[in-house]
Amino acid sequence: MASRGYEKALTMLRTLPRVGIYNIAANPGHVKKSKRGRAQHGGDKHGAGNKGSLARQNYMRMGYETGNNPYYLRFPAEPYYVGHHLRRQYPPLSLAKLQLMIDTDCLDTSKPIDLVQICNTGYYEIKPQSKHYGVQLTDEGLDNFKAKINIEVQWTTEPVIAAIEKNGGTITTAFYDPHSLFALTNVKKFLESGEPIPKRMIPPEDAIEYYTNPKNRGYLADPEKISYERLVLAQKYGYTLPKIEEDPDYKMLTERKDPRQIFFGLEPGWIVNLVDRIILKPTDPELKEYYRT
Amino acid sequence: MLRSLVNSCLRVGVSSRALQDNVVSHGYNFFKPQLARCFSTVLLQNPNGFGNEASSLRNINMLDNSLRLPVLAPLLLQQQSRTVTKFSLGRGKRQTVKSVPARFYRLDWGIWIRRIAGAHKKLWKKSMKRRMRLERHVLVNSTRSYMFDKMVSKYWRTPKHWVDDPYAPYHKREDYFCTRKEPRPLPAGVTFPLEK
Repeated sequence: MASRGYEKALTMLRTLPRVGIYNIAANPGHVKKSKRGRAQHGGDKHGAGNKGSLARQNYMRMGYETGNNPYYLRFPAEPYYVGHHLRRQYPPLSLAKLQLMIDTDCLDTSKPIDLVQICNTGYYEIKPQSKHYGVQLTDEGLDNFKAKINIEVQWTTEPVIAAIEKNGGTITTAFYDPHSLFALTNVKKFLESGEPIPKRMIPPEDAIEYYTNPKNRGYLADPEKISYERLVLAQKYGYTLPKIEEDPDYKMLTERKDPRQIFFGLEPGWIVNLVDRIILKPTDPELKEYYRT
Repeated sequence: MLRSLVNSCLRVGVSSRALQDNVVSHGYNFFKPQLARCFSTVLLQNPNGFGNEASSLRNINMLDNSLRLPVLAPLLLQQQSRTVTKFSLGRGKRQTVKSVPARFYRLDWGIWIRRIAGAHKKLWKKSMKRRMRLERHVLVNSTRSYMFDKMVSKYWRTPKHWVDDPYAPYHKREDYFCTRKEPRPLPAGVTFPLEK
């Protein structure tokens, strides 16, 4: 069979190098000037207009008012941003959005929900490098919240706790240091790095009070006091507290992490090998002592 | 610093002998005012006077012992600048004008707020009503807000999710249909009939 022209062209194309910005030449006749000409050498205004600071391109600096007391210096200083470089940020996640995630099967309510699950939905993002310290569960849409969940967040308020416990769920507030947050927000990247799972550090001085308070359902609070506060909150908001002891999901609802633990089911110090699908555990007594809770 | 000063002295024609004469004649205590005066007068006395190598070195040592920075400060200190830096020396990045976040606060919808001028001044002679007005924080207009956005770096323009933020109710404008960003939430008890 005689080869046709287009077939020849295609075979030629296959052997030719790939066309890219690095190997294409300019169109024939296209000349790019290396200099901006002046006067008779092609000089004109070059888009900068005629006379004045626009043509000379010596614009006044931003905020300068030609000798006036500038507006940006005219008012008294106010400590709006004092300590901004130290303040912890908790990007908000509303109960309405959480309910939507559950309704659209982005979150599995048969397992405990923590920062890993929430980040894996792809609808919530935190940046530990921007001093984001985790989820702040807000009360927007709390009247329509219907799910029964075991959730772990980093910051929340009293009405949110009431809304979740009213539906028979449980909530914990837990602190993660930035190192653990990098691991939690991108689990795959962290496990592929081959580093041992870090142990969770204790909260900073100004956050200890929040995370040891049973009213906030802090992870360092006494569980006895938390169950008491659950009852107190039910009476305050006027709902009957569902008995989670008789719930078929009792085991799931009461599952908690160790204060030094980051991932559910994995302990600090372990290395997860994704390629060989094995877990390496430390055997050195010194390492064991370090990762011990 | 001192070496550069000495160099500049030599450039304007301060002879080493003139400096030494001053030290000898007036003593240590009178050295500073005399030297300060010399910058203007010695030039006239010795228009071509350059010290030789050895004596100028001796002068450096002498200056080290006797001179202090405050005498040189007006000469050497650069004038302070509060302008916007478009390209920093280190990484070539745009810099923030620090006076802006020191005086103004950015709400998430893009407007900046500020205190009223004179809010802390002469409160004893202002009426109660006026003092209450001065406590308020007011909005900066849109043109100025746009200008401040350009005077600060991206860090100040990104929303800050601080907890217990007193400005939290003002970061969103969900009250009016034309300023609303998100769809109006459903009333309590109402759901989409998708489940049926």
